[in-house]
Parts: sequence; structure tokens; C-alpha cells
Amino acid sequence: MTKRKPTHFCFMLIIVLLLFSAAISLNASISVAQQSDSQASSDLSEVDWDSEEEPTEGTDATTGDNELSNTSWEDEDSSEDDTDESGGLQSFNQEQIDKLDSEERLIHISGFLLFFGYIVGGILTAFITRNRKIAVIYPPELLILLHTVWPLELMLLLFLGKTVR
Amino acid sequence: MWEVLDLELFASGLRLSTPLILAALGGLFSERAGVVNIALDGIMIFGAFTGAVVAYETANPWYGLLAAMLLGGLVAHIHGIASIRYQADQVVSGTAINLLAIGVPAVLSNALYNSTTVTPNIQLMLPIIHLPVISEIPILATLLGKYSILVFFAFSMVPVTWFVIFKTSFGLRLRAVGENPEAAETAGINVYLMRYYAVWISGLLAGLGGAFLSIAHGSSFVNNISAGRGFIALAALIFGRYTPKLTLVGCMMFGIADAFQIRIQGVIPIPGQFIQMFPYVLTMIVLAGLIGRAQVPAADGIPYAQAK
Repeated sequence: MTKRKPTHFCFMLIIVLLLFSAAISLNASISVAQQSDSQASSDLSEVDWDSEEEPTEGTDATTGDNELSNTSWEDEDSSEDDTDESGGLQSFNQEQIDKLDSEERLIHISGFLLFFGYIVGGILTAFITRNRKIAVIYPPELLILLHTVWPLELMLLLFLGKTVR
Repeated sequence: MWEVLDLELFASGLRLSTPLILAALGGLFSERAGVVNIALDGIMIFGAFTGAVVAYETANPWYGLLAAMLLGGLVAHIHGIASIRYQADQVVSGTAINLLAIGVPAVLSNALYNSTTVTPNIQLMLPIIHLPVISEIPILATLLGKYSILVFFAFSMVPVTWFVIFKTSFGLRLRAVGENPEAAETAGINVYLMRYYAVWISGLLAGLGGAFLSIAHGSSFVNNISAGRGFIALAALIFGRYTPKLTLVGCMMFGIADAFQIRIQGVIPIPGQFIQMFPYVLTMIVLAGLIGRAQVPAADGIPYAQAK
């Protein structure tokens, strides 16, 4: 009988835990859905649709808003500027948001290109220089430092780029 | 209480296992080449600090990520020079770097931002990736739908590491240098250079793991940001028998344990300090139970004197 390795045991434990978690998550979402359905029905049944709100004494619904109901809205300055301002504020915010999003995207793209390019460049430089003179005359400590600043190493290849092995 | 075991636990576990995976894979390169790299935790701290500072100053998290990676490589290179060229005790050299990592970031943080404990919040963190179809499927959306780009990178590094170590000539030379450096040198392999490469790669990956903590998982560097994760990564590496796939299992186990202790606090009537011990106690159990059975590379930790 073969002895199971602890790593295999842990792997199976992770899988079992994953299945258990999936079951708990599914059960929780089903119970939440059921609960919200029952609550919704009970809430609606408790509403008294037949009752109407009675106006409070001393107030008039039409004058309840005080000066606003007496205001003649047509006399107000309803020039297009005002409309554009209120709508313009919304479009300005949306424009600002779009601009910020595009700036953010640009930062991520440029940053990722530099990051990826530097890493790939370092790997390629290490590969190119493995059999060149630069890899032979410098000790390994300095060679690693040169790989870290590989643009400098590429410049040095102009002078020490001869293939030696 | 059982609701803490839902899929969010797994999602958190995968996020928290990311720095462990990166550091452990870095340690894998170094250990396979025969250099013990105890300094993973210190390199992670240096990486986290550098990443946070550069990301803040340049307002670009990718520049911070690159700087963290390169500085991690340089710090590991110092360890490599001490261990390989001067044949210092590798554990002592790694411990020295860990001690440096406790003090240097605090001093620099104080000099730059008048605070020894925390750096300013970065303006922009690394992007969150939403997988297009998976993020709409109910269970998979929670489990796989939304992670930082570094999480995907870390998991993709596992098969890449496996391929490099076991399927390329570079990996073959690396393993030869770690198993029998004398025979490798006889075959014409530059043992020192291969070991330097391995230690450098371990620093690059550990620095990346540290940067995850300050740029992707958090938004600034704080003191003790790694919380011993470098040592846990080393334990996961030993647990995984120095192979990428099993190391991944170990890192996921520790990551899920970490996520579990965060979620269980306040749910069960045990003091939080005891619950916080859970991942570290698990590490000790793993090390006590498995270190005798792990197959360490034959020349691991033994300084090699190159023939003149």
C-alpha cells in the first residue's frame, strides 16, 4: 500500500474545501433570494392601498410649497444658458470622468509597456551576451549588475561584442 | 459561523497567496542552484518599500513595480556576493539582510516623508482584471472573476518556472550546479555565474512579491508589511519539495489559512491574537513534520570553491 504524500493530502483538502465553499455560497444565495421574495410579499400585503393622506390643517397642498407654487415659471429666465449650465454641469462631470479614465488608461498602458519591455530586454540581453567577450572579461558579479542595467550593457556591446565561444 | 467558509474565503486566499507564490518561486531558483536564500522576507520588505516610494513619486504603479523588482534583484545580489564569492555562511548572510530590512526602510521613510511607519498612499494602484466571460458566471465570478493583474501573473509564473527549471538547458545547468557543482564545473558550466543568476532571479521575484503588498494589495508601505511572509514562502517551498507545482499547493494552503484567520476573528469566542497565530503555527507544523522528508538539493547551502 503506497504512502500518500502530505502535499497530495493538502491538495485534496483544498479541493474539498473549495467544493464545500461553493455549496455554502450557493445555499446562501438561494436562502437570500427566498428571504427577499417572502419579505417583498409580506411588505406589499401590509400596505393599505385604500387610505389617502389627509392634508394637514392650515396648509394647502397647493401652497404647501410656499412661494414655489406662486412662482410663475414662465417668467423665470429660462434662457438656454441656464439650461445648458445645469445640463452642462452634468456633461462637464462626465467629460472630466472620461478624461480621467483615459489618462488612467494611458498611465497603465505606458507603464506596462515600459515594465514588460525592460524585463524582456533584460532577458534578451542576457541571452545575446552569453557567448560574447563582455561575458568573459567581466566577473559574474559585474555581469549581473550589467544585466540589471541592460541598456548600458547594450552600449558596451559595441566595444565588447565579439563572439568568443 | 459556516458562512466564513464561502467562496470569498477562497478568493481572499488566492489574493493572499500571491506574494507567497512569487517569493517561493524565487526561493526555488536559488535553492535549486545550491544557495540558501533566507533573505526572502527582507527582500520582500525592500521591494514593498521601493515599489511604494517610486509609485508615489512617479504616480505610476508600473514604475514602482519595476523598481521593486530591480532593487530586489540587487539586494539578493549582495547576498549572492557574500555567499558565493566570499563563501560566507548563507544563513547568516540572509539574516543580515533581514535585519537591514527592518531598519533601512524606516530610516528612509522618515527622511523622505517624516514618518517611520508609513509612506503616503499611492495615487493609482495596479489595475484589476475582470475576466470577460468568467466574471458573469455565478460561482466562477467570485472565484476567478476579479483580481489584480499581479495575481494572474503569479499563478502564470508557476508553469513558466516549471518549464524553465525542468525543460530548458538553463534549468538543467541550474540543477546540476545545485546537485553536484564539481561535476558541473568539469562539464564546463560556470558554477559561480549560474548561482549568481539563480540568486538574482530569486531577488527579482521576491521583490515583485513585496511590491504586491504595497502597490496591489495595499496602497502604501507600512512597517512589518510582510509579516513574515518570506519565511512562510520558504516553508511552502520546502513543503512543496522544491517543485513549482507542489510549492503552489503549499502557498495556496498558507494563503487560505491567512484569509481564514482574518475572517474568523470576531466570529468565534477566541482572542484575535490567538487566531492571528494560525498561519504561523501551521508553518511550524509543516516544517516540523516535513523538513526531514524533503529532498534538499545535494549541494544546497554548501559554499563552492571554484577550481583555479
